[in-house]
Amino acid sequence: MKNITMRDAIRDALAEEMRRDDRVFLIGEDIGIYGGTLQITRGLFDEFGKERIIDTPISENAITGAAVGAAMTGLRPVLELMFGDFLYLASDQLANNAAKMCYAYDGRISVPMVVRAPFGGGTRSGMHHSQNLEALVASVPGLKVVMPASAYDAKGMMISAIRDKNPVVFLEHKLLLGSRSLIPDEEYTVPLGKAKIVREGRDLTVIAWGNMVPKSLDAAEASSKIGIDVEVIDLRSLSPIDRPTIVNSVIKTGRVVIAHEACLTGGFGGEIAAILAKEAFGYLDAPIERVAAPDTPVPFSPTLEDEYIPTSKSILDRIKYLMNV
Amino acid sequence: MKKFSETLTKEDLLEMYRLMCLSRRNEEAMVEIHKRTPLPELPHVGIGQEAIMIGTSYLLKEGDMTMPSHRDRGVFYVMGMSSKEMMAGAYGKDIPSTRGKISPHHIGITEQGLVTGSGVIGSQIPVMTGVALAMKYKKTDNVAIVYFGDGAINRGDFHESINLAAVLDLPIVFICENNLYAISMEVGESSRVKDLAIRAEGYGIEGIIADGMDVLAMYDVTQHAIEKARSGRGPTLIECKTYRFRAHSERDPRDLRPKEEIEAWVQKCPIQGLKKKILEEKIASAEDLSLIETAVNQEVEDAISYSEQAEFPAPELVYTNVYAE
Repeated sequence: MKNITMRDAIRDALAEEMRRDDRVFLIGEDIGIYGGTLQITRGLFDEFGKERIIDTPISENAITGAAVGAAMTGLRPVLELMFGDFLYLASDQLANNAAKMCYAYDGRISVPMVVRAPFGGGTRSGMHHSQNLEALVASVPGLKVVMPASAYDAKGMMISAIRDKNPVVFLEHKLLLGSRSLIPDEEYTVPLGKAKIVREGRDLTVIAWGNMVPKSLDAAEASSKIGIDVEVIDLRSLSPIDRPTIVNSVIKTGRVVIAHEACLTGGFGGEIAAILAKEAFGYLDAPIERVAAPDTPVPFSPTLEDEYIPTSKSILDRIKYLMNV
Repeated sequence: MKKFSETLTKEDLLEMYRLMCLSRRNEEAMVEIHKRTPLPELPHVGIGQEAIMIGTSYLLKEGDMTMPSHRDRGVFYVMGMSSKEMMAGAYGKDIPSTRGKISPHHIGITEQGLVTGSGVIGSQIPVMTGVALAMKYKKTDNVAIVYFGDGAINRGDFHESINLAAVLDLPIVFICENNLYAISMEVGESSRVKDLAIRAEGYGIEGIIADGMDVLAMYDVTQHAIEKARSGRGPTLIECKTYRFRAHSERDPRDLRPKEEIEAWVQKCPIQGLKKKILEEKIASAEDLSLIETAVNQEVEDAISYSEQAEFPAPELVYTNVYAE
């Protein structure tokens, strides 16, 4: 076992898969000797060279499309979008090509590619480098979308994503890259499409993903001090979504808070609320609550950004409200 | 430039003639049928542009890939697609390559060297750049050929892709079919340069202006570009000066092009041009060509009968192969 950060865990997964499979290569901006703006690919250039760590011009359309073309013809590209915000730039290639090729060929080909994108706020990076755009891609049939919240899951899910036959958008919250897990020395994988109950509880369920997972755990800990037993689910995968885990939890607890860092309107929490409102309807003891960012761009100044991003207190407040305390 | 076409045999020239006639007859038939009863596939025909379709894709080798535009039926024929498959596809019938999921002007059959294009004009160019990247990555001497028009050349996709292909020395040939109009916009209104090929210079690669109404000229320039690509000397942009004899589509509300202009270009018909050469140089007799034309007409007639009787896809196919298993 070793205690490593999510940044190192992702890098280890990339390196191990590249050693295992010659078809795996990395493509992106400043990912070569420089090691990526967040240093996730640091050192890989030394081992794999420029043929397998392909540094590109700033051309998100072209590099995303190029990953699609390479994946369709036998390779396994892992593309780094420098920031999740650039999903908007890559969205034609992702939604119109990557996601549709398998269907257009009626399953005669697949597009085994991974799009890695660091995302999320809290780094004073402003409105163009802080967004949470998971709902944009999670609504596209043909794409898979995952967001691990621990170093352990990040490594295991990255390996699964690289081996998956479908295009996988792999979102890495920037504030979690330094978080640590104990990781086994031997190879392991974490399946895509499975949520994880990270804390068991009886009274209320919090469903969260990305950086809202540790905040939800903090809120659950604070709740326990006032006698509320909160269950926390790390959704981990938005597409496909693990319906049984979230539905069964809410059937058990009868109360739910959905917490995400994306804006409220059009956020993926709305989709989960709709699933629960239908499939757990008879078991709900209270309205479904959502914690989300306000419907504004992500502001820059510390006082503004701190107001903007949901905190563990935002989650705790909703928990107390639903529990009438 | 080397006259590659001088090595073509009599059989080659007759085969090129046959393929051009086949593309023309197939499209004429689609137009006629569509006038009586609208086809599910709205015909966007390339009548008049056959020299490009046939001359650029003729004599490719195993593993080479083409990505025809929506107006390049002739390329599909060269790559071995049958009239029945294409015509039944246009009827929306259940054909093996698409099962009705994508319109047949975007059929992809990778084993036959056909990569599916996009209904988003220009969006296919990055994908084909990735196909070329995979060819280089796998250390083959294969080449990728991507087709687009004078409208698509203004998309960012084109500019990002040709630059990426240039800096990575990718084995790709960019074929710009400059038929002088996008839908209604004349090329002089969409570009300040008279010859689109000069844009290549801005990316540090060779650009060639070619007579898109002369199949042998098209063969010569493409073989030149292919030879370069195969030997690792990177991409080429070929601008083919051409004209579509019909409107943008068979549902074009109006065709703004001057009648005299259309008539002048029809005089340059590429099929008549090749026919004249074959007869003048006594490569074959008028009877030989007439036999070819009869066989072509029969093939298209057979394809129509087949298509009218073929089955539509079963509705439940909607749900299959969104994801690869």
